[in-house]
Amino acid sequence: MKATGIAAIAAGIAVLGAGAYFTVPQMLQEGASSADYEAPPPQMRRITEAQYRNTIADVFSPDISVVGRFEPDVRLEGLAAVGSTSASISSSGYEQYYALAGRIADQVVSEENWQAFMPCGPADPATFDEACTQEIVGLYGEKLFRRQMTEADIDDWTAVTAAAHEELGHYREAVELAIEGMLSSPEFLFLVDSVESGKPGSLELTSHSKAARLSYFLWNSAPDAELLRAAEAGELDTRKGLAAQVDRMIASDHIDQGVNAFFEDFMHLDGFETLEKDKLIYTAFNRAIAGDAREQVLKFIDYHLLEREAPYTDLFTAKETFVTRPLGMIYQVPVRKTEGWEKITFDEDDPRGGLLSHVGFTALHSHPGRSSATLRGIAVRQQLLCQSVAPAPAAVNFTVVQETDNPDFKTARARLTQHRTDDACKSCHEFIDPIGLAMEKFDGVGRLRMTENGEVIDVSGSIDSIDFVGIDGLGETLSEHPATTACLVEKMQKYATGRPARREDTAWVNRLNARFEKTDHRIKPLLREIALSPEFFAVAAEQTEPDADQEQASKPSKTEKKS
Amino acid sequence: MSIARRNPLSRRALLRGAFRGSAIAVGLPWLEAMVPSALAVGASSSYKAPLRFGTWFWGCGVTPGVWTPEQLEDGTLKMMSESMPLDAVKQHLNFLTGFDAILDGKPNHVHVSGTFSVRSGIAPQNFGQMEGPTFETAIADKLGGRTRFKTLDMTPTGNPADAYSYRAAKVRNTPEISPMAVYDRVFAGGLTRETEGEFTPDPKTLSRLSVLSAVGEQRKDLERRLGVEDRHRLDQYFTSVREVEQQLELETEEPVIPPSCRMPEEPGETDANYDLANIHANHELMAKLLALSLACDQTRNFNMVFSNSASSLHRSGEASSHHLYTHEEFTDPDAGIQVETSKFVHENMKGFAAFVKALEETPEADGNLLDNTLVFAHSDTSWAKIHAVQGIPMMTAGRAGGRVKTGQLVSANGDPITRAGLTMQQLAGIGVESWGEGSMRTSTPITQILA
Repeated sequence: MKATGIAAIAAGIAVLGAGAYFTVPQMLQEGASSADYEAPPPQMRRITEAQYRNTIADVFSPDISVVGRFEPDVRLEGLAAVGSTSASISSSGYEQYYALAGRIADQVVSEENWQAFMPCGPADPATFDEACTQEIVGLYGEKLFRRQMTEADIDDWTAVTAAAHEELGHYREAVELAIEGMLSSPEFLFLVDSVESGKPGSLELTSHSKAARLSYFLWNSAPDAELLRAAEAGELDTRKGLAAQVDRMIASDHIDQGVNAFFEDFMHLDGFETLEKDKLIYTAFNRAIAGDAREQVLKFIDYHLLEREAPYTDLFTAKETFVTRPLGMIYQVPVRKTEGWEKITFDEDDPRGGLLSHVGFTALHSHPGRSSATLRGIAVRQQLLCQSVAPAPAAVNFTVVQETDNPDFKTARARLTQHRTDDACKSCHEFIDPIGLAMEKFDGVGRLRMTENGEVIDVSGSIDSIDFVGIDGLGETLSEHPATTACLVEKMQKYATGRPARREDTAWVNRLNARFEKTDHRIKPLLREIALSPEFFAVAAEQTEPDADQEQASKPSKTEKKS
Repeated sequence: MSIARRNPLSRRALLRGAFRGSAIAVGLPWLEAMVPSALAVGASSSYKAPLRFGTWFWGCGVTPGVWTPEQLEDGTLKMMSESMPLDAVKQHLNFLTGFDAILDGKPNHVHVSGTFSVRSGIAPQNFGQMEGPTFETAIADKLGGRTRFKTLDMTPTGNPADAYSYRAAKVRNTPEISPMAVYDRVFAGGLTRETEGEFTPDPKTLSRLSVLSAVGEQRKDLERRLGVEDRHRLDQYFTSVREVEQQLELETEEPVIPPSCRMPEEPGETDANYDLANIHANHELMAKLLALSLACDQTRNFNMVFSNSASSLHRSGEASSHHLYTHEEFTDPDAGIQVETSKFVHENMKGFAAFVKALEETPEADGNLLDNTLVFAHSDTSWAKIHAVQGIPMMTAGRAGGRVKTGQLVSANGDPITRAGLTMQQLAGIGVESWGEGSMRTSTPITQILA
């Protein structure tokens, strides 16, 4: 695929990265867009389920319940974040968002909540309070649309509320419909860039849009009051002001939320929503374990990358993780606490502990009824190393492959070795399977085992001509593999921007790689570097000609103004 | 807050209505409450049932040689081992065989190229990327008219990604994934309404309509800020807004409920996954709910995905799924086929038979729902073992209000598979003369099934 080709080039350069870092033009460091950097057009990203939930919790309150179905993510180049810039909303999806908006608005204006959320209100609900309405729509318009509300905007929404009041005769209900309308608006359901003209011929994000980019990247949620204040004061336009906000955001409690959202996307943890294990084969596995396994990966990452501030590469060799009592069933370790999480440390020679041994990896990349060296190998190549694996050829006879009860081929290794003798399968499976086979001591739900069908499992493996033994050997090899860190940088950059790989971003990615290496592959400096990059905020007018019909349609009409 | 989980719809939320239903009378004696008296009394003979159209999908095709029925001397169809479950409904079916997805040198993306060719008429260049809308959305636009839902899409697999209906290249219609969700959406909210006295629209609904129209006003401002691609995405968005507006508009009018409309029982919560037993149970519940949704004229279009492309169906206790069997199972030397794989095809066909039965058993006017419906069923491949896209199995069910004759076995000889999509569109009254791209462009409908 084209895109991964570019990625491979970027990753290749990254290996030599340190030199390139010093060649970055000074201008870039100063915060102005480089003349050489071809900025992308403004964006429209569909809000994700987590962003929606976080935003409602932050703008209103975590007590507001958000109940409904969300549009499934679209994954492009391995990330839902990249898919979000090309996704729209289907009719049945909008119906759900609309219903959701109604349920939220209903709670927000309820008698018991009004005081908490509304700055004012009329003494008598039968009278319409215009000044109060202006205040309310101004306040929530700014928060929900992530932009400054113009006077015209406020007038429009006040008029809408007034009309609803006239029809319904009740102030709370009228405001409810205004909030419901805002939550159903494209500007809420999509993160739409607002731009203004900067230097002659160039565009710039408005400070509100800058704030939104920052907060959805670092916190996966809406900007807080302090960030909005800084934005309005123009502080995000200077490197110093921007750095102060970025440092504050990285130091805040909300950073977990942002980092978790990245790793959910990076590791495809949404797969847990439809993960299914055969009840008869894996009697111990259930939904509670699946939920805990998903959370476990994130707790593990938070602990090592944020709390300990350890290098990213440590994730592959770590021995400390967290378990709940249900997870203890899979890990076969005693868990004293009946509720909540307990930290455990595995012995150095125990295969358990590292990222790859987590149920969130091993079970996720298995079939419902058995483990899969191939699926796990593909996940390592594609998700963790950003390498592309050719799709299976269409017209291949697979019948030599697997027959789990064939007495001659007791283990997955024996079956897959048989498979690799077929020329058509060979090239790909040699690229994938020797990675996955090293993880075979973990069964389809991630439980440690020593034998398969009575045969001791051989977990020798290899990757890119490096031989190793077992999941520990694989973890160590990955922690030293140059593609491991380059891949994290590449995915993080794509996640932050929502953009597919572009040749124009190579120099930037290159620079990020160099920084990542210089800071011992620690995550916080990488987040900081991205958030402080001029490329993170750069926008340019779209190069293509807008088509005539669209142009015509978008001309402002005289009748537009509402009475 | 860090982990976004799908929360089950709370009971309270349901009572409020899965849609915007403001006042819901769940559990009222429904027929009396719902049907305007003019219609309820002896109206059945004057009721003209509308045409309905929908698709039914199953994954991993069939085994060549043991699925395609044989046409006997007297013209009747003799089912083969894999099509045997269809025997009881064969009088309602047509079998469309020998139609190919012609890829024009584009790669055969396994389990994708076939489905996308059937539905969009375009063989995809890239894996998983549909390049145009699928034809049944055009039919939904044509037939959907003034129904509450332009289409009802659903799958018993529990996975919302199991959907092959695209409004546009990048807008996939999201299916309901549990019988309860279908029930909530169609029946629990919005459908019931008091009819005592004169009908007056809910003022809140009227207000909502004006708020939504204000939301629409934002369009022009937004378009100015966006590039061409994003303006198209915004267009899609506003198309979706418009459909919700139409639903609200319908709520402001006195409901016209067909005499054959009945209220279903609440299906209850069920486990939804690829376990065969669960699939059958959920699918049957969904089929019945869908039949009543059609009978109540809440929608005239549907898409049902029984099993996903590259079928993940599996039987409890077995390490392999349908898909894994297709690739890994040895051909039985005596039977000459992959025996376990074939059993799954059998299960898919049982599913289709149950679906057809559910429509047939729903009375309407002087006959049944199936008389006025056209179901188009197809798979992603023919022989899944080698991902063949030649001779992808397709069927129709129902007489489409007399537009279609049934009991036909059509054997094409490598004709473009788009002939099916073209035929369906023309049957729905769309004035499309030719359809499909490249070698799959066709202007020849399958006349053998036209009445």
